[in-house]
Amino acid sequence: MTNPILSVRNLSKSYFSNKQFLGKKTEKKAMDQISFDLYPGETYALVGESGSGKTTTGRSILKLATPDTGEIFFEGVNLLELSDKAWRPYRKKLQMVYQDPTASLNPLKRVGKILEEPLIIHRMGTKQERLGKILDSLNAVGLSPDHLNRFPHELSGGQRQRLGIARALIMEPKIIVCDEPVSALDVSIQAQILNLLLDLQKKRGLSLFFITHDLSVARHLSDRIGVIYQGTLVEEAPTDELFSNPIHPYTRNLLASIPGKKPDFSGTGTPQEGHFVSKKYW
Amino acid sequence: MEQPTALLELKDFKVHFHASHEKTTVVKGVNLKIQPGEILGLVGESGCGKSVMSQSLMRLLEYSADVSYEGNILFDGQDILRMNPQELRKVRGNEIAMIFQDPMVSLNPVFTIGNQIEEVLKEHTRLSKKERKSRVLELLGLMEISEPARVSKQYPHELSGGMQQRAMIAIALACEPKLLIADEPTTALDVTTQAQIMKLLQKLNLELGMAILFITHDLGLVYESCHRAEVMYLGQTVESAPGRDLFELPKHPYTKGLAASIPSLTGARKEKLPVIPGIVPSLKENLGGCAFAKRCPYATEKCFQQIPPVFSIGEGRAIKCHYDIDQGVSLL
Repeated sequence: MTNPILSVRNLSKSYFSNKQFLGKKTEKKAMDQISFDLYPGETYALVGESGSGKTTTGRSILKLATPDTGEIFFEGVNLLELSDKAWRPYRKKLQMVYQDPTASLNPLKRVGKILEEPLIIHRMGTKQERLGKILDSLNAVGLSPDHLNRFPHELSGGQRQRLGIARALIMEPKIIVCDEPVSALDVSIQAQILNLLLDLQKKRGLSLFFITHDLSVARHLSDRIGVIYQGTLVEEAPTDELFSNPIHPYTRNLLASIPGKKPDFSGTGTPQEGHFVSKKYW
Repeated sequence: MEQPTALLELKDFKVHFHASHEKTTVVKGVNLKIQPGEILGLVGESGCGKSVMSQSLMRLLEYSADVSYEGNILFDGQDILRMNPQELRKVRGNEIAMIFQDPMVSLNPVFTIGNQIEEVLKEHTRLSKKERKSRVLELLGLMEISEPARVSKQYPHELSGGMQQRAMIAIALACEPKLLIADEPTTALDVTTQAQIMKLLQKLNLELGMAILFITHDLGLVYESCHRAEVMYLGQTVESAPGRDLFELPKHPYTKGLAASIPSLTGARKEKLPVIPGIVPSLKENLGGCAFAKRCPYATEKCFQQIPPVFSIGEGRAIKCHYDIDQGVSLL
């Protein structure tokens, strides 16, 4: 088997809140010893409910959240040990697409400027070369050069999310962390964005770390799925295996809760190769 | 199976919004019936007019917008559109109740749950204070809340999303309404919580015989819990069918497109999902023919010129389309 492009080991992070009136702090574990690997060209879906720690995990990969302990290896380097300066060149290779395209795009900047900004920050190319790259990435996500001078509010929800993806692509990343990129969209638009992601991955060999609460979306897109519950990765398996042979009670409950027509989730109960089940929360 | 005694009947119902000397018609002539004890699903994407329609059933819109109505909303034979404020008060919260998408926004943050349920009882019943208190606990128990006495003394922020939605439903059910309008009641909730709330709504429908108008964008939920469903597109209903059939055997091209674009739990993975081409036209656009013709893969010249009537296509099913695509025949 090929080597993973990203290896996450034992990530933990706790948040504390001053809930009680007199001092006593309560601890909430957002991530509790989370470990997983992401392989080149693979889509790994992290599935969980709100507050389960899936977004914290995604943000940790990009150093947008700082884990208390743990290691994240990318191309053999532990990202968490890098200084800010040493981190910069890696920053380009790891990009993110956010849930709410309206909130994650600067409303005062035009499309062209939004896409040029990361190139300027990383001092890439001349003005001409940058424009070329901008047009390429617009084209890759199905937007036209006419959109260059528009503001985000002049775009539809689906177009805004395409722009968010174009902004991630322009740095030619190895990995894109997608945090619920379709949950704010209507189903017909959702289908377009999912198709775009599948297409881009095929063409560019991207690795996707896909965070979602929607199991049918996760099933459609991913090669492997990790299920996270209260900060713990309770089960991880290849997608078909997870849906036909869920073992952890939380996973089983989650699958049973999906509305609509359901396949048989019963399975053999014995994990196949590459199928991990946690002993916690039984 | 058409009974003449519908609980709620809309007849050629239209809602117009007036803004800057312009009239925009958001609901464009809807006919539908809800029978007593029935769960009717209303499905559509954002902007199709489903929320505007449901809010206008209780005439809630006129407080926030300049609206006018056409047609009839007959509730138990009485026309809601022609009621005066006193008559409306008797219906609202008492005979028709409503729950919304985000319970945290709908609940009052400065009153306890118990207080907020009691408020409804004070308005609509003659119960004494003591009777009201016991009714509050009874209602919270009905919502399958394990410690009604404790929860009744709590404030909304102390409860989880699922518990908040249960409290909302308890408020709505305080006067045993004949009709509950549920506008995307589970959209803000996690799937496991959603499953619990849906189960609760189905139980209440069965035990109390209360009809539910269930507004959603999720065909999966319709499949699971609705007796019948109507699909809305651009302010019109385009298909009506039993909940299960709508999901499994959609007939109208729009419903077909919608159903196909949802990633399934049984079909192929990692393949391109079929997409409905184009975008939803503006409500202001004057469409000569069928509202969906521009995006419809089966559209013919006729579709652009003539508005299709509603055709009945057997066992409780109807579509607003010139053709039965599956049979490849014209319906006229």
